Amino acid sequence: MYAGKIKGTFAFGMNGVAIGPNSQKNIDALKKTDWLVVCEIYPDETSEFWKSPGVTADEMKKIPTTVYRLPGAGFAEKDGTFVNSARWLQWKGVALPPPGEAKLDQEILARIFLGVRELYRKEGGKFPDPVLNVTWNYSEPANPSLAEVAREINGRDLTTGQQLPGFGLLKDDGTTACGNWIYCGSWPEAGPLMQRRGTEDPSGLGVYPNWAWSWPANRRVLYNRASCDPAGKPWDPARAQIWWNEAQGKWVGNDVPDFKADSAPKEHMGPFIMNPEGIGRIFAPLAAFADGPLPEHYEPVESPIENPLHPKRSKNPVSKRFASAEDKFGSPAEGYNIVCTTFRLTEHYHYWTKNNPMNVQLVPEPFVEMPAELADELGLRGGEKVKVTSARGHYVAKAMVTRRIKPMRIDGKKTYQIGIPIHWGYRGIAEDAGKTALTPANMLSPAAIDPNAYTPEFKGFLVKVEKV
Amino acid sequence: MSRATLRVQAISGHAGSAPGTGTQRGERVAKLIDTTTCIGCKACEVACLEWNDLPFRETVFDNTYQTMPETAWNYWNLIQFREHTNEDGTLQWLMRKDQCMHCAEPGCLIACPADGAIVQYQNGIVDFQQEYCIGCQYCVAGCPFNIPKFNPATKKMFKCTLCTDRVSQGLEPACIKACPTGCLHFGSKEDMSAMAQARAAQLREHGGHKNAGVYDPEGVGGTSVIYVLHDATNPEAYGGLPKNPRVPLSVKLWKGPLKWLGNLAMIGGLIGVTMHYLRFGPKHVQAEPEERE
Repeated sequence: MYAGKIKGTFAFGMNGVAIGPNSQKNIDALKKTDWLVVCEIYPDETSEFWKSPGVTADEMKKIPTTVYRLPGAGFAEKDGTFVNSARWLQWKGVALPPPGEAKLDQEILARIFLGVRELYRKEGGKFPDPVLNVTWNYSEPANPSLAEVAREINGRDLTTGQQLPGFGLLKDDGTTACGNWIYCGSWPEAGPLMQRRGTEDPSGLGVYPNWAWSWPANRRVLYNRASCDPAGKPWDPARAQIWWNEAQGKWVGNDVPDFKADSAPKEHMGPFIMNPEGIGRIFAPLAAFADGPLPEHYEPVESPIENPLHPKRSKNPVSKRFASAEDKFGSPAEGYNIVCTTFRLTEHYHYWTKNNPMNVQLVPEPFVEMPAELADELGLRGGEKVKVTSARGHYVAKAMVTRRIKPMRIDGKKTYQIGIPIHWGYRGIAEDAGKTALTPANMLSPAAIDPNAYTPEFKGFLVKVEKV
Repeated sequence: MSRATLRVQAISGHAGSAPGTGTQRGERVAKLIDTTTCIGCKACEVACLEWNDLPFRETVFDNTYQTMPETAWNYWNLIQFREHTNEDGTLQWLMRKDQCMHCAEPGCLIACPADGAIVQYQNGIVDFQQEYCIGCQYCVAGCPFNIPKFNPATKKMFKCTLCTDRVSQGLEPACIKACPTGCLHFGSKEDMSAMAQARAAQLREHGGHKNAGVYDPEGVGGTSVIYVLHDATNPEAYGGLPKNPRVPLSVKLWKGPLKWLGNLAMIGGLIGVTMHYLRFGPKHVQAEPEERE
């Protein structure tokens, strides 16, 4: 988009300008688009990129983008599932209907899709087959219920029409359909298992097998074969998850075995079943990782020190960085010698709650948290304004001076760390009241991408701090 | 809990006993706050505002995570944040949920001269009845915890009700329901005291907090809000929790012996006047001798 190749984008429930690294570059990329569709519950930084800090009236006139803002529904206005990081699919009910003209996500998406399909039918277009032939058998095509979608994701046998009980029955011959194999079994013929609220815990180990449904196969602990010794006996009898039952010739236990159920211990099948060798890896061969087979320590792309292990190869040589004028990095030699991190507050949720008076009351405006020693050096007291500058941008807010962040001694050097909460931008109660500098915290952070998971490394970077 | 526990036990400024006293044995309720597992998220603050429908109050950044310096007439529940340096030089961030303690011997109620403005229910909840409040603010002088707050617009006093409306319907207070870490508990005073003592013992024996203990101060007859503290020998460190809170002597004298002395003086005066009347009869108006020019 920044290169001018992508002409438009949809942003649903994702404030891309504020949440990712290098906000200014994101804003400048959006300035080059023809159209932008934002579905949110509040006006956000992404949908108002065209009036971000520094955009002049003249420049605003030249921005060609047409922005479509769609009124989405909040989480309490929708049913469906939350999937947590313990892999449970937990169904939730609707607390209240969406207000005013706001619509459920699935209605908005369905109506866009049906409109696009109609255009394809009339006018044709590129790669028409997936658009024209997709199965769309919902009882209300312009507003599918999430229960129907969840049943569809679980998958069914196309011959019998029955819901499938588990991913083991999926076939690659076109006789079964499934939205995602890991969720297969969550809504079998028996009904929606993600809606279960059973609080019984027969083993007393906190397994709760009848509370909601855990992917895959309602298995609560992955690789649970590793809880047993090679002979198939639990390492800790007091916390037995599964075990080999010789009489029945299979693995049984308090959890669903994550293993070939009838593979006896004497067959020596390893517990880490997703690896061909069946064991955990420290040495990962066959180019499994872009940066080599062994774990290695690299300093972040911006670090106060060179890598003590190998200063000549301080940073990850294959971490992905963009080559643009806006992708700049700073070094201690240039005066960027304070480590900065960004964080979330318990009182706020991302970029929503800055619009809610209750949350704004709890923490009314942005701040920069810093060690008392650094504040002393700068001649600064809590509540006075500081300017934080990185190679990419700057941020101005009041200082919160604390003894909770202590100076660190790194490679013999006294090093300060500061922290900035991410929750403010240029739209919200404090922003509209003129209480902030209107710059998202991520205007400071760099985009450097981990070469394996592609997670941007932007929680630690270098800055300068000065009293305003 | 039931409606029966909302039977009035004591009434401010009221002559004679409360109606129905002794006819029903109430179960005392209590809130337990384990400061050792509070993370200072302030969910309880929001729950309090929302349940009690309290209006938005503008706050100012003040170099702290604490929402405001002290509770307010429209802000009854406040986490007090304190950075505390331990003996070994390590830093501890203390967070204490500050609200009405619902004293068994409530200084506010004792100090209050308005009949029915403050009541204590048999379940231990001390509640302000704003319709009878005369706005004199004597309760402020009676409270050792700086809790009653004055609304200058309505000239009435306000504070935490321990969600008496919820409790009377068998629900826990709103703050308890909102707590994500489980540091807040609600139940009978007996159960909460036992739970608090067990937790304090655990902290002493296994948590490395040799001074851990329970805060349920004797000086006000015990409270219906009790704390588990890492260091019960130093409650002041938790945002000024008084070590030995008492109803001020002046308030006790004023509403106790001095009140009776006053009554005695008044009755004595009346008796004197009556005796004088009986002994000397009514005062006769004597004609003033006319002055002559």
